[in-house]
Amino acid sequence: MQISIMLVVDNAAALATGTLDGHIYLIDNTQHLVGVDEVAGTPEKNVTHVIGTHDASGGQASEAILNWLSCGVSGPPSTLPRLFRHRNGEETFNARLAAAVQDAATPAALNKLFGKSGPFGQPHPVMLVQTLDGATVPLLGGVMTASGTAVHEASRDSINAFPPVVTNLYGPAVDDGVIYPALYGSPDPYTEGWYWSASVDTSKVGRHQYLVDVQIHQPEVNDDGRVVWMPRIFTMSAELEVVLQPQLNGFTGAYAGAVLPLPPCCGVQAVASDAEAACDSQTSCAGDML
Amino acid sequence: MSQIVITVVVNVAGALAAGTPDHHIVMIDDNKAAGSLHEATDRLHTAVREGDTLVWVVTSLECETYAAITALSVPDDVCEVRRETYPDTAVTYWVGIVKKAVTAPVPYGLTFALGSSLYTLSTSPNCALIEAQPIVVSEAAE
Repeated sequence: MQISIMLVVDNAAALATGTLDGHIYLIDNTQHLVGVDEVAGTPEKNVTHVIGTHDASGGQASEAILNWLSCGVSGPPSTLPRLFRHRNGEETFNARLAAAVQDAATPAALNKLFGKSGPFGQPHPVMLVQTLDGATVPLLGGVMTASGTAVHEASRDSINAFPPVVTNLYGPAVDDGVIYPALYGSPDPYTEGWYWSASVDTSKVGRHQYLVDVQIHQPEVNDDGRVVWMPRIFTMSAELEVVLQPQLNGFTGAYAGAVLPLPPCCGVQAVASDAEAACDSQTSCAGDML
Repeated sequence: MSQIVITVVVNVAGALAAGTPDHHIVMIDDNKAAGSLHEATDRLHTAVREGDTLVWVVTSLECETYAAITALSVPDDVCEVRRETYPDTAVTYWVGIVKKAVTAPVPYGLTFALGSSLYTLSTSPNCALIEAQPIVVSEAAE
């Protein structure tokens, strides 16, 4: 089964307090399968229940896959194309440029258009973002907030909308071979579509701890007086609870994927002509089977 | 007067199986510092002031499933909400401006279009808009 784990991060609060405790919400789709009423999200409840199934004979029947997705608490929905802001910003810029060129009929207007002042003489707003390996990359178009507007300057809205990124999954659960995580891309704002996924060895029943490194960008003023968004790594502790349940047919409630054990009244005896006399233990079985 | 984003994470499969979004949505807003309560539950109480812009954003817990808000039962005299679409996409969000100060909690519910269901599903009016408290702790980002 595929288990989605969504990490919603309050970036500004985490940066202000220096910890993710109370500022990250772990939401997954397994609570209701094990009858847990509380929704994961409070710090002491970062537990994902992994349902491993076994068939009626006790053999392991399926594995589970975990997928982690992260988003900022003020960010746009994850359904929005990752490059959306770049397209939108480019379109707006091109439209403005086209309109301005159309209006620039006189030399004075053209001078103003290509001069050092005015909207096109000024450099296009660029956010400088530093990656974990130290490179500084320009983020054209700014950070997209939930209302569809691109924000370039550092503010609580842009900090909270800047996508937090899971950079590592490690800890006892990985060391003990409970989960095998791998990176399939990244939700970085300057790359496209990566996320962490892990397969689970569901035979390892019990509670296992793992650690998640989350990268949150913090705007700082560098020596040149420019704002550079610096990566900060925060660590969160979470747990997996691996439980084993028999694999059941969801429609009938019977054991799925296995033939044995058969109830004693079913089988050859029920096919006999004197079916009524054949079954003397499970009273309803013969009649229903025929 | 600031923008407050309310993120609604929807477990679409769970909501369709149960026949209701209740207990299958998780709502989080970015205004905890001003007194929002019940973060990460299906009964979020968002702290608001007059003039604040509220933005409701929907994300599916399983990214391949479809979920969208089709209605919000916020009273018009408190906050008139409208649906907007991110340009050049089919992704929608809801936005509204708080028209007056909220002194008593104003309850509201959400209605969703989920998956390929022909029928919308509505929550009980467990969410609410509540009065914002003065922010005591200053954030380093400001």
